[in-house]
Amino acid sequence: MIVATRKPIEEIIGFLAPYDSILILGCGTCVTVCNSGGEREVALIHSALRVAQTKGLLDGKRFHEYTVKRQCDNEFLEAIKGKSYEVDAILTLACGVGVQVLAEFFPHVVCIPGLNTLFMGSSSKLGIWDERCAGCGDCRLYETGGICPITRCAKGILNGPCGGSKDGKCEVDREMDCGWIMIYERLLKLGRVQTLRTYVPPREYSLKKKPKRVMIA
Amino acid sequence: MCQYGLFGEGSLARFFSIPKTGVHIVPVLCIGKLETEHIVEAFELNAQGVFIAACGEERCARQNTEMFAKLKAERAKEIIQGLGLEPERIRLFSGSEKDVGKTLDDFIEVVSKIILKRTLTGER
Repeated sequence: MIVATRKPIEEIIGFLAPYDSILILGCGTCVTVCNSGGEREVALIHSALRVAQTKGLLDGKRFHEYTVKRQCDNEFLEAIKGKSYEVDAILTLACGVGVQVLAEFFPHVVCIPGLNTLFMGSSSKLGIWDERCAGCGDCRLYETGGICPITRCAKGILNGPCGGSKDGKCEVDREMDCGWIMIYERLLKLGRVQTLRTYVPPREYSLKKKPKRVMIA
Repeated sequence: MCQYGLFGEGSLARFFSIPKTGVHIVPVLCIGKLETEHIVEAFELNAQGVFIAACGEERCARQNTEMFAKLKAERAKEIIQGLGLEPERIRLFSGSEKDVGKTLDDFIEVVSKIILKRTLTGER
């Protein structure tokens, strides 16, 4: 899932200054799970903005709140089509994908991102989210025993570990486990450690086109 | 504060049996159920400070409630700080029943000083 964090409230207030009627729009999927942009967070931002009004900031502005099931799909945005004509700007608590889909769907309304989109990841323990996938388009997880060297190794190397690994920890951050030691131990358990003897050539990043597009029928 | 623990049967119930001016009690199902927006909403409703009284891990029938409350309180502090308010306006108390009244009095004093300072400097 996509992991994001809320922008600082002072930054959000700065964005909203030129607009009078603002819709705070939440997204009910990934960002709800990581407690950044769901219904609760919409209520929280709404409440914080009203507190800001009591402090003399954002005087006279009107706020509306709504949460759609998913902001990255046009069909879910149909639900707010009528509302969009009543507002000058939409403060969207969705990931970067959601903000862009929203901006395309409502070309006449200013779309303001309320979150900083970080990565694709999962929760390792309560409140802690870790990056797991870089979306590189060339998955090597079979060779590496289901542990991604691109995201789990600080250097993203394909033939690891590097010389900086010590006691199973990474030299970039001594608190962090070395991705390649994890890969080795996992392959050892699976009896597939011989896989590591195969040299993986460097990636040809120049051949990768951006933005990516895929057709899945 | 928890409606079953500190408020329901504990010393706070006795403490608040005598009405205290300017203190509004909000009993919740469990302190772990407290959300960040509840804390921020209190400021929206003109509260000058929010004192969260947790029953303590040993006494609570549920697990990790204090940790949940701590996370929410920290998040709320970060938000109110972004709004120009002092983080000291939010305090999470967890401990024995004996200390709760004293800690609350201390908190009220801290908030009163903040208000006084703001009044003198003309800040809203």
